[in-house]
Parts: sequence; structure tokens; C-alpha cells
Amino acid sequence: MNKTRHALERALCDPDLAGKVDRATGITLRKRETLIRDSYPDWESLRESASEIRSRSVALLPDLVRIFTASVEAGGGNITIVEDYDELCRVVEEILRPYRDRPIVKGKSMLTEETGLRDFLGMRGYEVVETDLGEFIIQLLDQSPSHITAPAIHLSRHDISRIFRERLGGPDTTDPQILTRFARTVLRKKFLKAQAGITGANFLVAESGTVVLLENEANIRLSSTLPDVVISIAGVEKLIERTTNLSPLLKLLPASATAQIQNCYTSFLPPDPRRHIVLLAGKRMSLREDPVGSEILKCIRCGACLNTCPVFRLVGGHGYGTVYSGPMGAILTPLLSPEHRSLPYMSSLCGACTDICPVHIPLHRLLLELRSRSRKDFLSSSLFTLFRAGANPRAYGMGTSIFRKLPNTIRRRLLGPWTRKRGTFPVSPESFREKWRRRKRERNHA
Amino acid sequence: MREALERVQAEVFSFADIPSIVNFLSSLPSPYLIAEELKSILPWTHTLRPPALHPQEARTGLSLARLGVKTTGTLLVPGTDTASLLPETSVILLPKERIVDALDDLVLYVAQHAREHLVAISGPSRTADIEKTLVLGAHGPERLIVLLLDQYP
Repeated sequence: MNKTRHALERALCDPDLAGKVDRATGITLRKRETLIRDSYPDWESLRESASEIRSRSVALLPDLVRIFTASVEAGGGNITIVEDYDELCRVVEEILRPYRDRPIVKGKSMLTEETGLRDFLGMRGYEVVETDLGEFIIQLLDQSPSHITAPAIHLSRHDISRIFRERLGGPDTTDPQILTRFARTVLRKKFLKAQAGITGANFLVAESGTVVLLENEANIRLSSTLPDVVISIAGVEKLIERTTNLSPLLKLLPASATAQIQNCYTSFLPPDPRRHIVLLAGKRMSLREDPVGSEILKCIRCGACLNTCPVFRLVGGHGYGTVYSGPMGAILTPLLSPEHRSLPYMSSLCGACTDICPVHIPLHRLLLELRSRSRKDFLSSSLFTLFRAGANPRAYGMGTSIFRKLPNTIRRRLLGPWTRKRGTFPVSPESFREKWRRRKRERNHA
Repeated sequence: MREALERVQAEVFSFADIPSIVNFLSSLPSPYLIAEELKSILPWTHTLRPPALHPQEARTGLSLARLGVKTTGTLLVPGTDTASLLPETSVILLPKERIVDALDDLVLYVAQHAREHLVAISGPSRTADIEKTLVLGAHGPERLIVLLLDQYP
């Protein structure tokens, strides 16, 4: 709760942030509208069928894990199912151990952020290089992604130019083309040196054991084809039943994420002795039992709900202080770690997220449901006891007369964060009710 | 097919058959990297010199599409094909008979070849990670040239 509050304060105090995030998300949203209008007259029926596919996958999850494992093994590939973050990190490290003295090239993966895998490996002496341009930039800053599909959305070209100059001796220019070319040169050397690669996964096909990866930069192609060993890490929610299920998903995902009719590269990686899949089950499996959990497991991580969310556009992903942000993050995060139960309040409940979701997740309803759950906690809290006492006129009068007599510093402390960003407010020596009673007395005397 | 390819920033040229494209290819920067399945078909040893000694030194790569999707401009190639990945210019041959109507046909092909590592390509590699400004040529090719072939052996 405090972590979110601090992150939020930092975000709100940054004078340029809202402008940068609002501009970037706005560009994607407008392009998406045009694309759907021009190329997808059947958009609604695509959403319908994708939603059914994802619901069915979530319902069948235990079976799909079993089938997928069998398919991967039958194809000569390697698969390990892990139950928590710690186990995932240890399993990955064990696979990587023989390749420790070379850089490890890594494609974008939100699960890596969630599990802390990069830090885990970094502390044990591995050089893990983020190769997606946005991720590469924020790795230089030791930051986390501020958007699930556009990780450096909070930085301007001037910020990025300065980072490249200071950290890597980059060129003195703010031209995105030259900056991109520079990053390509730096990273191409890493690709050619690396013996091991790490990727995430967009979809896992149970019937064939295939890992499906969508991208634009070709860094995932390089990470998954050049090295001797490739590890793909993914949560079980990425599973789908059949290859043909991909039909609507491969249209909806690039259109929703980056407003493209197709992303540049979609890799279909079949099981292979050189490839390992580390599949995270654990808590994700038990989320299926929860009506909110089973809905959010359908999410395909397109980031459209972030782009359209008025709260996200104001504070960016870092404002949430958590790995996943925006409406989907405000739902998934508290389910995975209950200490973030205040996160569903990062929403105006306007419903724009529900309107845009390509797999028909009723996001704003889920946010409301999670709020009502956290309200149940509130009902038993001491703050609520105080409020209830306030409902009694006598107790209220006594409480406020004591409050008025306290020194200002103590009053501010009692009101806590509510006053931190507001100026001092004078408190009348006499309350309204006292004044009312006095005036009444005076009139009666007159 | 042409419009869809151009929409994803690919350059498109039409040729009657294999011999007629060799001249065009030799105008592109060398050294060349040629996909395995094309080596037996293209008279490359005579005309396309010099070949790249190491794949990473190639400046132009030559690949053969398994199929092309008419509506989206997507080409399917073997995933291990470094000719469409490492050089700054990627040339992909697409025989006209391999053009299919929709992305669903590509998905069906992938389903039928589930044992194979395949990659669907739609345009040259790109990024918009800096202020959402589109830059062509991220980690992969900066140019994608598609050669539509009327006749393929």
C-alpha cells in the first residue's frame, strides 16, 4: 500500500510525465481506431471467439499443462514446471550455469520482472542483456518497464540520448533513427557472443508444444536462434489448446498492442533439445477458483487497457509501484500479492478498459469487485471504528472539540497523508454546532 | 499482395522466372547470404559473388517464402533462416502459387507443420520505443524486398 503511495507521489510530482505518457498512448489509440475501422469489419466477432478460446483455456488449464508437457517431451524438448518465483529462478540458473562467462541475451518478458530473475542472475555473476530497445534503455537506468508493451514510454528522446551518451559513449543526437542504429551496433556484438538466450512467450500451444512469440525488432528471433541454448519462461495462463486457436489471437494482439495489422515477426518454436521451457504454475493455478482470477487469467497482455485508462495516462506505469500497471495490473497484482489490495482504487471506473479489451474481460467490474473485497477488510479496521463513533452526535462533538484544541502539528499527523500535499488549514476555535447553539442562546436572550 | 506488402513497408518487384531476377540481385550490396533451399535453384555461384564467409558479414540475404498472405503482407519462412534475419537487406522470393488469402491459412499451414520452426514476417524489422517514432531496421533487416515470381521450378 505504501509502495504504491510513494510511487504515485513521485509520478504526480514529475511535471513532464503525464504529457509524455498521454502523448504516446494517444498515438497508439488513434492508430488502433483507424486500423480496426479500415481492416477489421469483423472485430467484434473476433473478440467474441478470442474470449471463448481464452475462457476455455483457463477452464482446461490443468489438462493443458499435462498435454503441453507431453507434447514438449515427445518432441524432444525440455520442460520444467515450477511452483514459485524462487524455484523458477533456481531452475533457470541451473540451465545457464555452463554459459556463465558469456553474455546472456534476453527478449522482453514481464514474468522476468515479476520473478526478479534478472537481479537473481545478476547477483550470481551472469551478464543478462535486455535486447528489446525499450528494455535495453531502462536496464541502463536500472528501472522497471513503465508499460507492458512500451517499456520506455516515460522517457523522451532527450532522456534517451543523454543515457546513451553517459553510459555508452553514444552519439550526440536526439534523432531516434541514429539512436536506434547505435543500440543495434552495441547489441549485435552481444548477440554474436552469446551462447544462451532467454525469452518469454505470448502463447503456448498444448497440442504441439509450440512456443509462440510476437515482436517487431527481431531481437527475439536473434535470441532464440543464434545461441546454443534457449530458455522460454512463461506462466501457465499462456496456454491455449490448439494451433488453430491462434487465428483470432494473432489478429487481435498486434492490433490492440501496437495498432499493427501484423507485428513484424511471429516465431513458432517447436520442441527442440536445445530449448527449455520453464512453466510457472503455483498461485496462477489457484486463481482459477476465484471468479475474478479466472477472468484476469484470460488476459493476453496487449496493454490496450493501459493506453485507454485515464489514471494510467496521468501517472504512467511507475505510478503504480508494481510490475503490472493499468487496469489489468490493478486486478492481477492484488490477486498475486494481497498486500497490494489498494491498487483497484487506481481507477475512475469509467469502463474504457472493458470497452477496449480484445478478449472481453469485464475489467472495471472486476476492479469494483476487488474494491468491495478490500472494503470488507476496511469494515473491521480501526479507522472505520472511528467513523462509526462519529455517527453518534455526542461522540462527534466531543471528538471535534478535542481535535480543535490540539496543536497544528499533531492535527496534521493525525490526518496523515491527506494533508501532506495541501497547505495548512486554519481550524476555527468554535465549531459550527457550538456557534449555532451560542447564536440561538443569544437570540433567546434578546 | 502488393498493396499489403507495401503497407508494411516492404518493397515489391515482379519477375517472370528465376533467371530474370539474377541481374536485379547483383545490384544489391554484397556479400550475400543465400538460404539453403535456394542454393540448388539459383545460379548463385556464377553471378552472385562474393558469398559471405560468415553469415554475420552478409549485407544482403536471400530467402524463399513458404507462403505469403494476401491481406496482411505476411511471409512465412523457416525459423532457422538467418538470411532474413542478419543482413541489413532481406530479399524474399515469393512464387505466386504460394499466395494464400488470409492469415487463417497461414495458421493452418503452421498447424500442419507443427514440428518445424517457422517465422511469419511482415515488413522490415522496426521499433517505436523512442517516443513512438517509427524507425525501420531495429535488430533485423532495414529493407525487405519481396520478389513476386510468376514461375517457380
